[in-house]
Amino acid sequence: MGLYQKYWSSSSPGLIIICGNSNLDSLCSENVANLINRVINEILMINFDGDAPKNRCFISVIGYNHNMKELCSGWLKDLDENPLRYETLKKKTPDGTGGIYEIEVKQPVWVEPTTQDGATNMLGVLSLAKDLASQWISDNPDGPAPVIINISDGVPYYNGKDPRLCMQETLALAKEIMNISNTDGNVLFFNVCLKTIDLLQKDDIAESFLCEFSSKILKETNINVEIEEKINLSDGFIYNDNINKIEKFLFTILYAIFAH
Amino acid sequence: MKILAFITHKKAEHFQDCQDRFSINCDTKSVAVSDGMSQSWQQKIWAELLVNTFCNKECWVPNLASVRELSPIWKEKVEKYIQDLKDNNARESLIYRNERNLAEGKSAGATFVGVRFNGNNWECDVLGDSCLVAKIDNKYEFITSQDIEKFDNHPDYYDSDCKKQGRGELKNCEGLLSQSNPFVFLVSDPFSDFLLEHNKKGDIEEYAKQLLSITNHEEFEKLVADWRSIGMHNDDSTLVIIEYDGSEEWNIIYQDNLSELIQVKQNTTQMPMIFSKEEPKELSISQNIQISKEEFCEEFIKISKNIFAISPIKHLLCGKDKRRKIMEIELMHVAEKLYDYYEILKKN
Repeated sequence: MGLYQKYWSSSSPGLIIICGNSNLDSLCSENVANLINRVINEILMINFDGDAPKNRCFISVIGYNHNMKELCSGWLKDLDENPLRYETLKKKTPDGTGGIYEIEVKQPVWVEPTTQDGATNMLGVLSLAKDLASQWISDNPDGPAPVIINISDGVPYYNGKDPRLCMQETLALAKEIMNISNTDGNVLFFNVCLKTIDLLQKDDIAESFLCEFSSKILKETNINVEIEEKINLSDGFIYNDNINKIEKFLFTILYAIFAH
Repeated sequence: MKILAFITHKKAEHFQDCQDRFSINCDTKSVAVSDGMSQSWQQKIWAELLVNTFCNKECWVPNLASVRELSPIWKEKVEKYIQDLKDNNARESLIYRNERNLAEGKSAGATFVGVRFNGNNWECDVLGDSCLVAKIDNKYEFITSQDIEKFDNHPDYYDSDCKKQGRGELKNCEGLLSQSNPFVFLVSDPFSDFLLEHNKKGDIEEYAKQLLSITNHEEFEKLVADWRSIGMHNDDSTLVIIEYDGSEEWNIIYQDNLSELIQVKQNTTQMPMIFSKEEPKELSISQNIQISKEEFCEEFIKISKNIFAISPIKHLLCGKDKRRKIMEIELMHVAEKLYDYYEILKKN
């Protein structure tokens, strides 16, 4: 395994693949879309120098339920210049003296909530992600290791198969992906479970399934993160938590990637 | 004293993206170089403020207290920058991203190295991995605030927010230019790293000679490209040479003008600027659009990238024949876009 020391820069850009599962109720589907939009926006903000975001990475967003659909892709500058629309949100910000105040922020929208069809074809989306990551690595052997973020309901289910079989198949493929590497290290995998479904009736099975293919970045890499919630990050996944904590988990990963 | 100063950007970027700044003032006999930190925001304004303050105010010494006094000036300049964006109807995301960072109190960081001369004596202040390299009695000294064995992506820096500490402690050093101590270089980190490496290998003299032989920007660009190919980091790169010539008078032989370099690039990419509205409407492209082959190719690649970026997955997931077909369609889109683009130019 490499050391994950490669600096993400416009001269050595990286790849971030975000897989978003919409097999959830409409509220969760909206949450997935909002989360993806905020993640993209945060990446742009981290890399914004005042004139434009630096092209330090290429982002590819794939939505999935039974089918897979590319929701948006592009270099940071292209994404910054081409959102679908803008929303206005309120954001709580520390005032520097221990207090908090609200500011109005504009949130660009690249991804809209999609309809659900009952399936979670994690195998299909990971197959796509594998092709993308492999191609990227073959084109950029000395760049930073690609990062995959999978936002899902936690349990793969497709083609009417038993979810346990789906888990086995998906896990086998996920481990193949995590073995793909370049000089910087193996592909990094992070999982977010927004809401469990009752296909298995057992949350802990889904939790250990996600844990199996999540990169333990603090344990296995040299990425040094100064954060409050090291436990979440060290596991490489976040499970069934509230949306604010999930967002914080993802943003912390982004800061670890871009500012380490 | 002979002075030469050069600056260039990362490969794959433009001068507009360059976060290094330098300043030379013959009246105060001062030179400074600052490298704006990538992980921060509006670092170019901060780096420029640091070097200009050092060079224009003879008594100004960069320390925590004096740098804090620059904080409101930086903020004022950033606010003016945002107002200018609004006045010029800049892209919405550009305005709101700056406003959001300002509202959230995000700040800039920059390294610093500055040197002032009194006759042939010099005094240097340095913070971070920007560095003064001096040849003293046939040995090379690297003056930096950091442990030179630990250059990394986290250099010491000054923060533009007066409430924040920044990182590291300013280092001060003195020296003399003479026949036996014939020059000093002020450099940003790619040169610091590269020269240090060759100092360890014992062949730095050869590389110092190459630096001393540069006389203009083109030669500097060539040297940087050559050195990058043999291991120098691909990053914004600044070099100021101060060479002893027997006189205490300052003689600027050559200095890059970053604003002009930025402007030249903008003029070559914003082609609509070269047309006036009085031009006749029915013009043939070949006769009237003054565009070089390189500029045309650059436009072509830019539009291609945007179109191909829309669906990279498609290219990966289909067989050769289908891929060829997709390629044909996308190339057709590029051609159409370029055609439309030049149609607009013709009508203007």
